[in-house]
Amino acid sequence: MATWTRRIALGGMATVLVAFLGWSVSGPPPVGAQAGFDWKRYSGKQLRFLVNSHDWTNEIIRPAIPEFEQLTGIKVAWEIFPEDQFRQKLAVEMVSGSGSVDGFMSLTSWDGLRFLKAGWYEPIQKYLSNPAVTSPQFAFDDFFPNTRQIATVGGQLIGVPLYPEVQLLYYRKDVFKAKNVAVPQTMEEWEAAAKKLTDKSNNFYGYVSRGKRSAAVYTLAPFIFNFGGQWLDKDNQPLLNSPAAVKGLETYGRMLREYGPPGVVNVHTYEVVDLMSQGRVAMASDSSNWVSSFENPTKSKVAGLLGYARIPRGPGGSHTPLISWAISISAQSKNKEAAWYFLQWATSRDMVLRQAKAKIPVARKSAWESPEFQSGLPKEWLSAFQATLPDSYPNQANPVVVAVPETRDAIGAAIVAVIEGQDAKDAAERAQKSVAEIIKKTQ
Amino acid sequence: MSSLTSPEVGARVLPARPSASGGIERWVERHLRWILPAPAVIAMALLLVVPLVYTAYLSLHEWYASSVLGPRLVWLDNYAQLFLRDERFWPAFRVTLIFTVGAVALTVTLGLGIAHLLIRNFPGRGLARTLVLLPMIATPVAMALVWMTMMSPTIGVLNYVLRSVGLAGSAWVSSPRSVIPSLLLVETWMWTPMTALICLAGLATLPSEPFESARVDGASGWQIFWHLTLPFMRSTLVVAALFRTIDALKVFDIVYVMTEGGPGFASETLNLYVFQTSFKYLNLGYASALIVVFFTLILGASMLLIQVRRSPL
Repeated sequence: MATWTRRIALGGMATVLVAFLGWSVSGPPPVGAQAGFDWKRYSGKQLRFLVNSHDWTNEIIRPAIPEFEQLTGIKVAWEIFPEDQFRQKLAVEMVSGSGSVDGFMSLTSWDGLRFLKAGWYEPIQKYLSNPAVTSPQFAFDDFFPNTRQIATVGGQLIGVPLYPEVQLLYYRKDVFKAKNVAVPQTMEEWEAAAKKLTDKSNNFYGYVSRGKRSAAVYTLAPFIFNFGGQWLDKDNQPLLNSPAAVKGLETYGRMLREYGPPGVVNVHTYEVVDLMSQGRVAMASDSSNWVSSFENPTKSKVAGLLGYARIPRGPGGSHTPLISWAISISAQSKNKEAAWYFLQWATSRDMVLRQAKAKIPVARKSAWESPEFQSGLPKEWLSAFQATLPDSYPNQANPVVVAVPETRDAIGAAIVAVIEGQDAKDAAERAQKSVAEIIKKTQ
Repeated sequence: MSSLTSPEVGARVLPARPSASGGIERWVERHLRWILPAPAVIAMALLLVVPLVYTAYLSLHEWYASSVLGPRLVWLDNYAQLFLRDERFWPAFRVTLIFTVGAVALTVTLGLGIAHLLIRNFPGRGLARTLVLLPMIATPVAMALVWMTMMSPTIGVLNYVLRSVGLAGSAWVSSPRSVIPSLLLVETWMWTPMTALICLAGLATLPSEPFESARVDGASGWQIFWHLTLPFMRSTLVVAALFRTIDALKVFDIVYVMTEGGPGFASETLNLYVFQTSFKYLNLGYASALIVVFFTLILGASMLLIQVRRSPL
């Protein structure tokens, strides 16, 4: 690690000098173009990427691909699919072993171990530490340390993180003020606030988060962490029946049952956004990404009325999962170096800055701190995100196992049971047993 | 072109024909009963038998689609897991049975009732018959989405109506207790037109003499229905029930759209469980075992109903 950072630093210094000289005669260079690094080295190669539909893939990268092709002489096919179809398509192509896919995206918390076990990822450390194929401008240490962990699966760096998200507490400033409630700092205060703000006769509820089986596992996570629990122990065995996990499950279920809207067991993240935007709830906890929906007056009745805070802390502190899609090189690719060129370019300072200008959260510190990103997003959201980031747990949206969908369904069933009023200890024991069995069968 | 009309060619070909093709023609003639159905049989074999046999073969293996390893033979392990240890199989089996019995009973009973109304002569009968068919014509997925919005506990119109007449609202599909009745409501609304249509066709073909003589003998409306209509309609009703049973056993669209099998697994049918196992968990071996069981169930139900139709009362 130290060697390549030093190399990059030295190389970077040299390049800055050369680039400065170059700039003075020819004006600003195009994105990625620097003297001293041979971008044309793989000119004439062709690449094919399978990617998940997102603003980043559709609006940042797709229109910029001609720039990459001009810079490198490499042709790129950028194939975008909605999430479910994307996973199916990728699985079919990779299982066939045709080698026609050069790179793909993955949500490491969901796909990471499965893809790693299937041997689909090409570890990228060796490219990153090779100055012949890595531009000195790339500066991987510009990525927040925690976000680099997102792209680390089974101890190996398998790609570059793209747009990170943590969980935040969204709350209605106006309602808090009217009812004279302070922003909760601890789990106890949180529940007390939810109780005080609930007004069922007026169809207004204190707190909402996901209650739908598999989806709810993500928003349950901070409750387990903040009571001092974890998903798995060092030997990858589940800890779902630990006292902390039971306490977290019990609290989450009780808060949604007592202070959540009716039918909360059918609430997915989209319904959380709807209920908040429609002004039906005082607080919600979910992915930090929803800020732009909430602040859009054409979609949200509460634009301008929302406050943003860290998830309240418990005896274990305040931790949320930190997740992100990452872009990787396929182990089956016949053009791995060229694919690495594309990864570098797509996640370069300049491209990430474009992403920041479009208000898509970024993993690079330089882009995060840029005035383009900072202006236009609520100050409170920015500070809550930044305060959450260092304590967040990379990829812990669910137990990081091979069979994530089954595991999430098993834990989700326990969440639904507790929301429905069943005993948390019993539900946790059942989930513990199921998850242990799933891990045993698949790992 | 010109060669076709030239006398030499015609002269050479025509006399040769009977002797050259005579053998083939006779062979075709003799084996006609095999040859004519052959394309259909081959298509059936390729589309039905081969996948079925392959599924049965896969069901004896452990195989994840995402795994680098190929299928691993585990013999009957999948079935043992399924029947003895799987915590989702039996609940899904139960949900499937309850849903099917409920759906068949409701749609057939209501369908017969509606057909009874529509067989009468009244002004606007044609319009009424058309209107009754509408739910069946609409796309199930779209209708499921509409129903889901209507059933939303917070902002749905159903609870609004219930509350405005002073009743308590229901959680509809958002509670394990009311999810199956709610889904049955949608299923009944959507498919009663089909059974009504079948029953209407059945009623239209009934002979009028027994009914007239019964009326002359002074039988009440109920007696006529119980002792004449029902026995006469028996095979029609069995056909309606057969169609509905097969449809209800493999219900997927409305359940997937409205609940994805939830809350928890409270509305997970066998078909949905198969879908999750194969397309979400990519556990193809286990999913194959589930399909084999599921297929047997559908086959059994169909055979039972056909038997009922044939057997005397």
